[in-house]
Amino acid sequence: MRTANVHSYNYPRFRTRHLVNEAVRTWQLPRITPGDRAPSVDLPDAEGQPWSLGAHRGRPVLLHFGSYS
Amino acid sequence: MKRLHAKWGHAVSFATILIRQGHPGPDVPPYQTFEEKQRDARRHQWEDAIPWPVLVDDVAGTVHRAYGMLADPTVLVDVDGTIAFYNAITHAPTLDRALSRLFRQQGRGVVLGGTDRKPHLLATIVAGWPALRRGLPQSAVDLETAFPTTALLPYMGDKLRPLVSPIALRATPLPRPKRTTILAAAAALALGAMALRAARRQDEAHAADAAPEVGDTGEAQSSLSSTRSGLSGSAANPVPRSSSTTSS
Repeated sequence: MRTANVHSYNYPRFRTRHLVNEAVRTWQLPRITPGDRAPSVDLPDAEGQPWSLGAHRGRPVLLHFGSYS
Repeated sequence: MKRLHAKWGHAVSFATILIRQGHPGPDVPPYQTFEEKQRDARRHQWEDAIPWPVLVDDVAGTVHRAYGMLADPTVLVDVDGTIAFYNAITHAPTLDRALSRLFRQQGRGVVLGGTDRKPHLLATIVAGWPALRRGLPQSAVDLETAFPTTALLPYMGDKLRPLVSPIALRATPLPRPKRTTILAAAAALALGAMALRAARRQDEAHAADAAPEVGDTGEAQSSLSSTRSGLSGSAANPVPRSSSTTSS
């Protein structure tokens, strides 16, 4: 199940359904509610150094989600 | 985003979270391992000269999914760790307004209604090509097949970038008088182009009306038959071969 999820998430080719899904998700935004606590982010950076959203408490944070391609 | 960082970086933490390949291609295949993703995070940071941390999500996109799984959003988190603003398609002038408002609220609370879902097409078109280029040719073919012009427009936007970036890639909102002037100029250009096109069509219609009429059908047919007889005459009397070819 997890393997299937990983495969569908990392699609091999961009198709019309991805464009449609993007439009639907943009309209619905079901998982994000302004005013709620931000989901935790504990990830390594490009050099492997740990980065945590919680460590930035007391300072606003801009989290940008982006792709290399 | 870099201009936004230059303005706000002293007071706001910036981070990019690397998600899946948006437009895979021969040189940017879908990720199979975390190491592949981390390598692209380094390339992304280096090639695009990103001055803030580029974070690497896992291959399943766990953090990306938790934040709505859109292709290019930016989330503003306030000083208490609460979502203050969700910019569904990253747009620097909108984020600039959101940050200004947040600091007027002492860094806390929801700003600008909490969500911006506008497509901000001009910025997307002008800034979209560099990422798409990494997956060529497959990325452009797939995108055009998914929805025609969605690869062509970023290509043209990239070519026009020096011209339009002062408007399309601003870090701050365009002042209202300038916005009105640009809209009026664009409307005038569009109207001018439509008027020119209508005038050209009218000229073509006049020219077609003024053109000499072709003779009656009988005249045309006799002309055609005389041409045909000329051709058949040539076929019946082919040019004789030269004597040099027959003498040997």
